[in-house]
Amino acid sequence: MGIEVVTFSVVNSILYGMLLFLLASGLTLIFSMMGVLNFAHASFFMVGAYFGFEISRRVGFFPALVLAPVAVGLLGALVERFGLRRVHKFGHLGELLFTFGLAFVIEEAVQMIWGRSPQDFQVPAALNFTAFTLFGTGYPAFRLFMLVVAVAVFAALALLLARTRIGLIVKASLTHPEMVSMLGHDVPLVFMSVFGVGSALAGLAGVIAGPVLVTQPSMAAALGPILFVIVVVGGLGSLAGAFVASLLIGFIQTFAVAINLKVADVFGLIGVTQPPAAFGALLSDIWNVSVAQVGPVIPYLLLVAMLMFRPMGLFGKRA
Amino acid sequence: MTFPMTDTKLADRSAALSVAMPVLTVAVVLILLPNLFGSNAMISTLNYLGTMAIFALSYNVLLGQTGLLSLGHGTFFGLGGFIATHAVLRFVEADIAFPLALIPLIGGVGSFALGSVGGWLASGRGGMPFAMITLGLAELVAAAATLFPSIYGSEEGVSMDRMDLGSSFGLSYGPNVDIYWVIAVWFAICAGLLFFLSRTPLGLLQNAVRDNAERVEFLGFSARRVRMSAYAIAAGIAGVAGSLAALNVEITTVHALGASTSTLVLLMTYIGGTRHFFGPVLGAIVIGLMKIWLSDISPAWMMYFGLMFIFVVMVAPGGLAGILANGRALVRSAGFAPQSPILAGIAIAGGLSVAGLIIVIELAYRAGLDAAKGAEISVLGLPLNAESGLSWATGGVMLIIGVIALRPLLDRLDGKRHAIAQAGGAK
Repeated sequence: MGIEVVTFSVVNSILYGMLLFLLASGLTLIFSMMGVLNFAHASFFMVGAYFGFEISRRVGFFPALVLAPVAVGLLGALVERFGLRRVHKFGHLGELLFTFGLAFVIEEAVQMIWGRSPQDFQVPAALNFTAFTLFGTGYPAFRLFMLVVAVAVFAALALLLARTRIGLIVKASLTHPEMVSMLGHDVPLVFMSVFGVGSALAGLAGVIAGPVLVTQPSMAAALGPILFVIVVVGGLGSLAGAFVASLLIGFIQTFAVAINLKVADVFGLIGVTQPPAAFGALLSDIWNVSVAQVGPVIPYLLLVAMLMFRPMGLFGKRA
Repeated sequence: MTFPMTDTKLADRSAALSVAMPVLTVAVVLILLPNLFGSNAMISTLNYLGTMAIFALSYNVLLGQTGLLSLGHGTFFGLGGFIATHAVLRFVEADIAFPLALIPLIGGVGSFALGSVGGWLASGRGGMPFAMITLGLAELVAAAATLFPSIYGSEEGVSMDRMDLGSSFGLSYGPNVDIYWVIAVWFAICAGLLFFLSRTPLGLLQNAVRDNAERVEFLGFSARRVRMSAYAIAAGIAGVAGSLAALNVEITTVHALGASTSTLVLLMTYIGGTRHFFGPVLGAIVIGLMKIWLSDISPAWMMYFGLMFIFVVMVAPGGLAGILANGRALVRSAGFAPQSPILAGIAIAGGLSVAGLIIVIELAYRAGLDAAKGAEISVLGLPLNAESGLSWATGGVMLIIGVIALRPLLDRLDGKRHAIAQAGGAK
């Protein structure tokens, strides 16, 4: 693996990791608030991509970058107000099942409106150029733009939570809702807003990821389980954990694709070129496995390993 | 979530009768079904419903009985199918005349063993972490399956011929109806075992873990072991269901292991009703039939499943079985007659809004996904057009009027019930 592959893979890993964190941060905030992971979170990501596609087709990409997340945020707020709040009385299982059903319905609705095939969501012309050339290979400006947006949102969110009065009320509402409401704050409104903002962040991730990842009905189902791996590995409810785990998964998945290595190659190094016939078909399967094929499996292996050796996750509190 | 402990009271009331009646009913229905519906297509529908009913019953050991939401139960259905398929292939290869009807036993035991391992990993905590871990394990198995084409086949799956093992128990396993009898007997065995389990101390402990895991720990039991037992038992029975599905269709693909299978069993079980023993069976039958018939007449069938599921979660957590039981109790109660005009009004308003919703959804599918089929569409006997504002308005107005009418009717029903309860109390 050459130095240029490593360099580009590092940049891509950080980019993918930050994109994952845009989603995982909203998911983590909502988890801290409701005690329930929102299954429909990746669906809001997908809706963001589709809204972004529709709006940028009509009025351009940059208005879409603002309008689509706002629309997704409003949708999320409505879901909290008229859906989740009503099933709250049935406990966590009811809430979990509600978001599960919602994810199912959103996937169907997207297919109903836009069809099953991928949409032609193009990188906007203003950002469709090569940002810099390194080792003779160009790096697209849009990817750099994605990175800037993701980092900017991350910084804004961190400042909002750590430095402002709003952040103080939100954090207090997560841990001491009764006390905050005694002090005269509208806690249900805070919850609805947090849910809305979390959904809007997912929507924003959708708009900037839509042109790079493919905008299609299966994008939610493809990303959803990875998000859950991130929040569990990072530690349920921990924003710092979600950040580290997002980058970790970003690196694992990007490098798995970049490394061109097969199990057979490893054995080739020690002079074994054919699988021993005695072990039959199963071994020849393993023989032909490449790192790129194992890539999708690694996050789940990480999840299982984490649960065995450190069930509270990287930064989670002991249960 | 808290569940009323009706099960134990029922057992106290008249144990013998309450056990004997369902057993007799199930036996009679299972024997009558293939005689009532003789056509080959109907038999294969029955076979599908039977395997799904076993699958849903196994899932309810987790969801209803132990209060655990598993998002990866399809894994064990699929693994059971693969174990059964490979068992048949191996026995044929080794020329051993193993009776085909007993193959599900191998699939079940294999899944039980794998479920014990999975349960050990998953059952440290209940609730949210449990759901996450089961999802992760299922994704792990599904992703890893693609690495082993010699076990899981590639896209086209692994197939076998169920007649290769020869005939046993007087069945040649050629016609579908032979498989029906295998499924029927296995359904009876599994339902019987699970019903028995729900009455054993272990079954009651599982209920206790569902209701208050912390207290169970204080009583000196390990909640983890109870969860593990539920997970392994559910996996084993799901393996039996998967094996039967493999015998029925003679092919198993990696899709059987996937998220869609896990989702389907959750929908079936929850919509059917998790608080009644036969609720999941009802759900499997209703959803299974909808899947077979509705998918022929409407592209929106998955959407209807999802909306039905959300409706049940939000309004009727008891599921279809809960609705039926409440309805029966209501009709028998003295308060039914004075309530009936309001109930009829609610039924009309509800029916109107559902009809409006169906019209809007069907029009939306015709305007979007199925636009190539042309704008003309017939919904509920009405000739409609996806490009005509009048068609959309018809559905929209029906939906809105229905929903607006429901609210005051429900309020009046509440008032009426309150009045009846007070009058009853005054006596």
